[in-house]
Amino acid sequence: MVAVFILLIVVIAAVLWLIGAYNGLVQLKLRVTNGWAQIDVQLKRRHDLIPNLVETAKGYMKFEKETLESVIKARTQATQATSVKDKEGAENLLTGALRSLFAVSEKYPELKANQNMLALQEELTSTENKIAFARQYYNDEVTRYNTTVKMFPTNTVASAFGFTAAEFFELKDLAEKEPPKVSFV
Amino acid sequence: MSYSFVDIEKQKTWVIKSVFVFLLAFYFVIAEILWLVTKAFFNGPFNFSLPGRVPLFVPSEAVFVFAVSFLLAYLHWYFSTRDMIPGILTMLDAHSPDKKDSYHRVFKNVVDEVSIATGGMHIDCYVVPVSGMNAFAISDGKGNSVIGVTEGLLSRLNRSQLEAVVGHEAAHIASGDSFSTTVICSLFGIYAALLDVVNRLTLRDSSDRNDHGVNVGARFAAYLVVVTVILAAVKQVNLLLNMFISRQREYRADAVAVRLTRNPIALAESLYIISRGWRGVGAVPASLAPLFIMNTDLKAFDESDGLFPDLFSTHPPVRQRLAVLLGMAHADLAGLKKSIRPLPKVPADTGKVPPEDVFESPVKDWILYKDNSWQGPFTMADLLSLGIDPSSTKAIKARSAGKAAAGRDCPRCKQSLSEMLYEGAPVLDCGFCGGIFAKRNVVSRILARENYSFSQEVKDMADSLQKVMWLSPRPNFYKITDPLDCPSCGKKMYRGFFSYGLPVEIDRCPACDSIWFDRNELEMLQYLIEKNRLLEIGRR
Repeated sequence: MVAVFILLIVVIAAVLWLIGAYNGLVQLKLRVTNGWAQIDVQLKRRHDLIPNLVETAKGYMKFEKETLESVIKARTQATQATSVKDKEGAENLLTGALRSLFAVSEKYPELKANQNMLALQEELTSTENKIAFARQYYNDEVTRYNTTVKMFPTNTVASAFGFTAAEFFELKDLAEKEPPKVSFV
Repeated sequence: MSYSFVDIEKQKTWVIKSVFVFLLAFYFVIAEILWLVTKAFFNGPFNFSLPGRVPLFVPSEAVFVFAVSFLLAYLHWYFSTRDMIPGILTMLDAHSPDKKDSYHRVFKNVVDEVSIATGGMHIDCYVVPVSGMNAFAISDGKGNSVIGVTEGLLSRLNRSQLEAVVGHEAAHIASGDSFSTTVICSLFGIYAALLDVVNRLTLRDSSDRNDHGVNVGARFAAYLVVVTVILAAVKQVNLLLNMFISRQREYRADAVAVRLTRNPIALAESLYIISRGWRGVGAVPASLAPLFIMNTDLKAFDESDGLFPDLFSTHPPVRQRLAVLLGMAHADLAGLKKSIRPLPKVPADTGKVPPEDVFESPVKDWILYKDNSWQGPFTMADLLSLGIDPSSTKAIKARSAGKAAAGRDCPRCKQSLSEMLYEGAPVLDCGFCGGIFAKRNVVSRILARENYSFSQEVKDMADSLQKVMWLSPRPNFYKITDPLDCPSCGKKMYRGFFSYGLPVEIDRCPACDSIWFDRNELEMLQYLIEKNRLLEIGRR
């Protein structure tokens, strides 16, 4: 009788833990999805800004057709990419193209002083920062989720219910900032 | 350092409950004292031996006083926490950012960026038109939160420094401590306001000496004096509430800001810059100081350690905050001081540019001399498609390309004014005579900024204005017979000095609260104000 009772308690405890672990995983996964959605919104915003940028620069940079075309091409590729890995590659290409566009634009003082260009540059900088922050948030959440998925004992629940590790999202920075030196000692 | 929403809620309720108990105890003591004093005054003709016949302290009365003070505390709580955010924003004279203003646009973008770093928290942003440097965060329990900065901060920090400061304020909001600070500051505000009312009452009472019963008047005045003294004491005792505002929260917010922006150096730089300048004391109510990133007043108390500063000071010593941040980045103070550079200045005249919407089509600002006549206007792309090199002398760029403001004519030369950016702020500019027309709040924004450099001509004129001011008799502005018409409302404008310390002649329109500057007048004013600011810093 007592044995049955103890068994019952153990079973109930196990079921409760299972529910808790499952819900925890779902919650973490949702946060990862939310983080990705934020990145996606910002990437889309960047894609929307680029035609305006090219339009503004076109008039001034007549002799830089190749640079402008490479930006447009990279943008088209980036909008078509779907998976995290594809997007990573395409966005890095786009960043490279934009970087060379801004480098070339240094040669055209008229363009640099153009208020439209300045406003676009501010918007692009802001969007870049937003992407960087969204990526930071996403990667933090992925770390937490992956840790739970891979660590014992939650990994048993994860594999039973088909929770797989999420991918990190790495991007180059447009301004190519020096990596900040941080140490939490 | 993880904060879940449950933790935040728990912390919130704990702090808030103890603040309410404190408020209740406090009201009880004050109400009891007031009650006793009132009794002493009105129960008899100033007979302080009263307790002999009628006992001054009665327990049943104390219960009644307790009930009343509970009601008062509740009402006080209710009214001061009901509209906390609008109330504090009004006290600070904060405005939401102007979309046309380039500094404000950057600020709005930075706040949006940081809110993404926190995982998509909604934060509103506001700007205080003061040239001091400071930033604050407020939030109410319902999920509304605001980050505000002063105009001076916007113009004197670079983008990553501004981002670090906003990150610090966002950390206050995310960790929930800005809520308790906001509640405590709202509670303060009422006392300050009440004291003002009593001050005004007593002042008026003494100024108009009317002839009804001197006896009653004197007694009422004496009563008011006592109330004033008690309220003033209350305001001081209210500082006790600072106990509930921990110094540690600033360190925590600094740490979370670094976690959000991953840039301890930028935060250290901005703290250093803020600590060296005017932080807004005088322009910002002292009771709201705990809301800010750094105490608005420079106090030795804040910069010291020990039990009492730890208990009653709301901000930790700056050097310790800097030490923590520099430790994170493996840097030192000497290196930090060396790396801080003032922002580059641009000459004032080239700065006037038309504000444009990013998504508008390219502006047509080129004209072309062809077939014996001037043609245009064209966009740059049009010119190139016509096969004309823009650098050739055949085409020239028109100076003014701003949108003509409909119905706004220059009061001097009657040309139509066009919208331009001056020091990043939208003004109406006359392309013909160089005059500038702006609302007063826009002018205060411009005067807080110092990113323009001025020509020697302007500097000399401004310096001589100041000298002449003391040598010659003041001009009689009442004798002016041809006042200018306000470009905005058409009413007559008043000519006068900007202020007695700043003897630049300007035209004001009191009806629509705007100012007209003739050519160079705004530049001279800016130059003089910057010079005064430098003198001020030199004196320290």
